Amino acid sequence: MISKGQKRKLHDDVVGGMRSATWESQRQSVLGISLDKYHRGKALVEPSLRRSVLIANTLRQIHIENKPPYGLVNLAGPLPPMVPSNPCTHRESGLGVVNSTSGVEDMEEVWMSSESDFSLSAAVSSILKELDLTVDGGPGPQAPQRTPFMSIENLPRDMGLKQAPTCYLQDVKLDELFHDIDTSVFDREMGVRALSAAASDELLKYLPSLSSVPSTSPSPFSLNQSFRDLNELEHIMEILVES
Amino acid sequence: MAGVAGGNDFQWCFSQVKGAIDEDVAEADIISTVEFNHSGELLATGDKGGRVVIFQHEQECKNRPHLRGEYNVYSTFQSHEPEFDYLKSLEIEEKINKIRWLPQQNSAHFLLSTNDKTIKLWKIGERDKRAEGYNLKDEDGRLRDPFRITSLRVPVLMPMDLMVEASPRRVFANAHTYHINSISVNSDHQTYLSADDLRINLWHLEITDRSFNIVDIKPANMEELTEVITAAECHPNQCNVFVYSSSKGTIRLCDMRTAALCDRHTKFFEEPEDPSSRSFFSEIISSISDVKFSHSGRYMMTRDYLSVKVWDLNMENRPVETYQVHEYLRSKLCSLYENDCIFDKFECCWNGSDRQETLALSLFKAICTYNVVLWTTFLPICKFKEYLWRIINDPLFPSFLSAIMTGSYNNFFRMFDRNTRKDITLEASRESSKPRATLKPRKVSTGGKRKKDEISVDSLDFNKKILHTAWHPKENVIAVAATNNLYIFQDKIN
Repeated sequence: MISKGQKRKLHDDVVGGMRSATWESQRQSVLGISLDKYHRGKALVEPSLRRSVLIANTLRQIHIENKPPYGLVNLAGPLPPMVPSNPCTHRESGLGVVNSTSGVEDMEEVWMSSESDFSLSAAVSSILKELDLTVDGGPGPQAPQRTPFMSIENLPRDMGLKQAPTCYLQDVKLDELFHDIDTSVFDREMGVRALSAAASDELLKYLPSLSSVPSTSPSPFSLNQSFRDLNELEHIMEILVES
Repeated sequence: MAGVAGGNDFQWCFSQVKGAIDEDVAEADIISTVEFNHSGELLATGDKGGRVVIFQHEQECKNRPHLRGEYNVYSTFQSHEPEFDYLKSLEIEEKINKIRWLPQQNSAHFLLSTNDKTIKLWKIGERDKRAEGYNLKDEDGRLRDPFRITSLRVPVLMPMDLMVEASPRRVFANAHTYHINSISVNSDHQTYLSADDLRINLWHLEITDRSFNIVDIKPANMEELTEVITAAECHPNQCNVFVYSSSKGTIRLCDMRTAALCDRHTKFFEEPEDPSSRSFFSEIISSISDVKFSHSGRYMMTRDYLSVKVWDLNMENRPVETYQVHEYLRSKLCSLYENDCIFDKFECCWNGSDRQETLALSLFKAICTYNVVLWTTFLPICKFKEYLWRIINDPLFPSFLSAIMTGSYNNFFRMFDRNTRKDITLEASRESSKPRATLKPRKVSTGGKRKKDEISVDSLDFNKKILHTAWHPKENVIAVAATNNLYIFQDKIN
């Protein structure tokens, strides 16, 4: 089924406050195709960086162009995308995934679109995070010291930072949710015993390692919590993937 | 005056096809790069199986001088083997991404071939003599006992059957974390650059254990990565200048004299986007897949998904010429995105030399065009030559032949004549493969009504793509790679 690419008339759409049906359907299909390409699992051969970057940019563009249409009120609160993301804090606050879906039609629509926002931004950042880890074999952040006369012999920075790629690939669904969390916002909004950014980072680090290396034992508190979280997260992922 | 795109005098005709005819194409046989050497005598192809096949142009038959000679296999060797990167648990493909010939300096030929990670310098030499009569070795190679030797002799060189040997002379490895997409030999013939997705390195041909990193666009945080390097090339005359293109449709020209690390460009070429044609795929189709300097070095040509653009190096804000390759695909971008064809990287090439003129012809044109006669009587001959040289190198002076070629789908390839502004679509197919059969122009119907002999857009075979083409440096002979077959076409000599 070939869907025609439409010349999108930006001004008409925004001014009118409504998206044209064809643009929206194309947006949905491009979104679906992009996520599908991303989720399709890695071949044995290293994926093309150019292709991944272009797909990520396309997803980003869809995300940017999916700002709530002008005039539609956001009933779910100031930051609905964050609601399903952190199971710990939203349990505290009482706003569960289930709660927010039951409600006004508009709210659900906004929540669903922000759900796709969430999955988009999560997917975009995780594509690149994964690329970093896959290609470089280690955390990306530090820029290598570079002098014009450096001999690039064995790329020493790759040597000690070996990851178990298969383990990482299994965990990617969890990580993808975690990397996008901005818990500092929740701290402000909910003001409960929210995890500090540092504590939540700790938790994030432990959670992936739990499923791959059962022998590591973090503190008992986070252990129990995170097992519950894992199930909850998988449940959330199912919903997101199906949407 | 006829140009390559048609006209009464000029036609392309079939010359040869190399490769198997089977419907089932082995993945390893798919041609991944094609390159003529500087004289045009040799034609090299690389394939996905890591092999390099070199064809040599046979001399024309003495009794049939009007026929151009054929290209026959000269040498075949395995350039790269598949490797496994144990650190990342990933395979490194042996596919040959690029081949570049070095200018010939002696009787042997040298070329650089590269896969995703490693570049190799190969020497292809001929051997037609061998030494016989060694003292310490028998004729069959067994060592002789030195104490049994009672007399000495001088080995003599005896002729033997011609043997073409390819041997790896240098291996340039471990310098690229990402996939190498380009190599380019510098005009100093001593250095070359190699480019991967995020970095460009400068090598000396003699030194394999280190290289200079001259461009690095890797961000500190990989999540911020939005642009990669797609192609790079050295300037044909100025050994300090090179360009590299990006996935966002920009080209940066860098001068190596300004800094050791050329992260800041000297010139930045980008065409402003047309807001009326914006779509979700605007960025993907703007990604440049190939960049080639013209032989004079004044222009460069870039290929993006739907078009070929010619840029004047002195004008950064837009190209001087744009040629649409297959504009009818613009409405199909969504499905091309779905089947991944939108990521295909087409190459492009200039015709042999920008100016195929002899000095006499130039003089004739100059006299007719510029009324030079008046001036010659007052100038000494050296000044006159200088004046004439400046005239024929003036960009306004019409060149004899300036054409560009690039590939498309359905085994179509396109040629654009820059003088006549005409273009032509030809097909590389077995059906039109009779010796010296003239190629018939093809047309894709875009409107509702399909004329006879036209093909509709929906009938195009997107698995038959022509990504790699090459033009002989001196003659009108072209090599077109269609999956696993190599087609050679030439112009009809009337």
